[in-house]
Amino acid sequence: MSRKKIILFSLGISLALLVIIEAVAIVAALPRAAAEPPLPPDLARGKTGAASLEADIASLQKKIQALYPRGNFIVVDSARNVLLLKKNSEVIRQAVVSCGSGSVLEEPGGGRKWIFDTPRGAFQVESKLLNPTWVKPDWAFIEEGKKPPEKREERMESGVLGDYALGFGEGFFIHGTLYTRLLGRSVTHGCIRVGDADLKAIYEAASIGAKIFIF
Amino acid sequence: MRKPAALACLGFLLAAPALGQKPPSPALRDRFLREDLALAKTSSLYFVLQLKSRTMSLRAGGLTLREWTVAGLRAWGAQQPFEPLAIEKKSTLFPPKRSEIIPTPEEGAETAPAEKAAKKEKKEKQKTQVPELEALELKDMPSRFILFLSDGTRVYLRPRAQKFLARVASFGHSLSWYSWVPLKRLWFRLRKKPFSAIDLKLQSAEDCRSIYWSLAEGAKGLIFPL
Repeated sequence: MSRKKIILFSLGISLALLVIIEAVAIVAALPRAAAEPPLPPDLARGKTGAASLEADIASLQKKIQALYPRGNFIVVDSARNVLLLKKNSEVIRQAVVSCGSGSVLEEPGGGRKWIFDTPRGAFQVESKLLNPTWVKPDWAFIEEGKKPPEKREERMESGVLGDYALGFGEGFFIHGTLYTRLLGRSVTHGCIRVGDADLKAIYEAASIGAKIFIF
Repeated sequence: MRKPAALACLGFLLAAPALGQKPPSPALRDRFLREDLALAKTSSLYFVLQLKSRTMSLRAGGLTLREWTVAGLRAWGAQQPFEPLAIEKKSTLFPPKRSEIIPTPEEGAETAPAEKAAKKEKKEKQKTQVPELEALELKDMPSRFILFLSDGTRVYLRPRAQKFLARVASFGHSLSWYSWVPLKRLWFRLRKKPFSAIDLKLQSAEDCRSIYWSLAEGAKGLIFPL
């Protein structure tokens, strides 16, 4: 056999082998028909009929609905910087807001590190403040290249959070802003900044305990 | 005579897929609601991918916060288990990068003359230009990425191709989907490691970016054939 024929023969064999392997892989990877989940233990032990299953489904649906917020609640879309004040499925008010910038600040000398994201998940209004004063946290001083003061009084700054603030835990607030032209952009250190008129409406509508969903 | 018969045949063919689609079994719905309830009781966001109704939703407390329509769906491998799956990793070619804030030294602090000049120049620039925000925003998120789930499932997300180059990329993706992914699955199977893949085509690039934004690593979710 000539050298050329040997090469062609080897190539043919390799190609055939590749086709066979690919075919086997495709057949093996084909999605299987959906299997049925096993019955829940409490139903499997007792009565099994379709009626009991349907009753269980209705009960589960009720339990999920019971978790839905009652009264006014807030939904914040941090990707689009939009806040919705809702009651049931109805939108009462829509506001353009500013959420966390996602920037990172590291304390010089390799100390602490902050990531300025708006937290996501389900929260609730924990506090409502009128004419709030900002107690500047350490990062606010470090960002300005200053040393954080030890005295609390030296951290107080009034007039920067607007007329109202709604706290939803771990130092995060829905509050006003002096930088209204930046509403709609992600610029904050994690809090949610709202324009004056919208903030007033939100403050009046959301009571302590009102749910806040942030995504 | 032929016309009505042809029309009847056509009608049957059009209706056949709908007739063939069985409603989900009560056992499946029951299991889904149980898992949904368990996740709804936590304070975290979770995702729900419903394969038959072709929707992906983001939920918290049982409430649907956002829903995306899946324009195209295909899968390889075993069905996902009927339990919450966690996102172990989000993988993309160009992951978004967070900008780092450089602390500005206190006024009056000792600075080198060159540094002072640079600062002055920067300030002058800021006066004349609209400041460029160093923030991570929706537009910075990738529109093509893979979610690695805890059960070995990989969810490939990409937008529907509209422009020429996007169509070429989509063709390349399909080629890889039908040749490379089954081979990869075979390789995983030989090593007795779980592997299955779901390919989701979303309506727009913004939908994909929103999903990337909303789903953090560690978030849980459900994939159900509902």
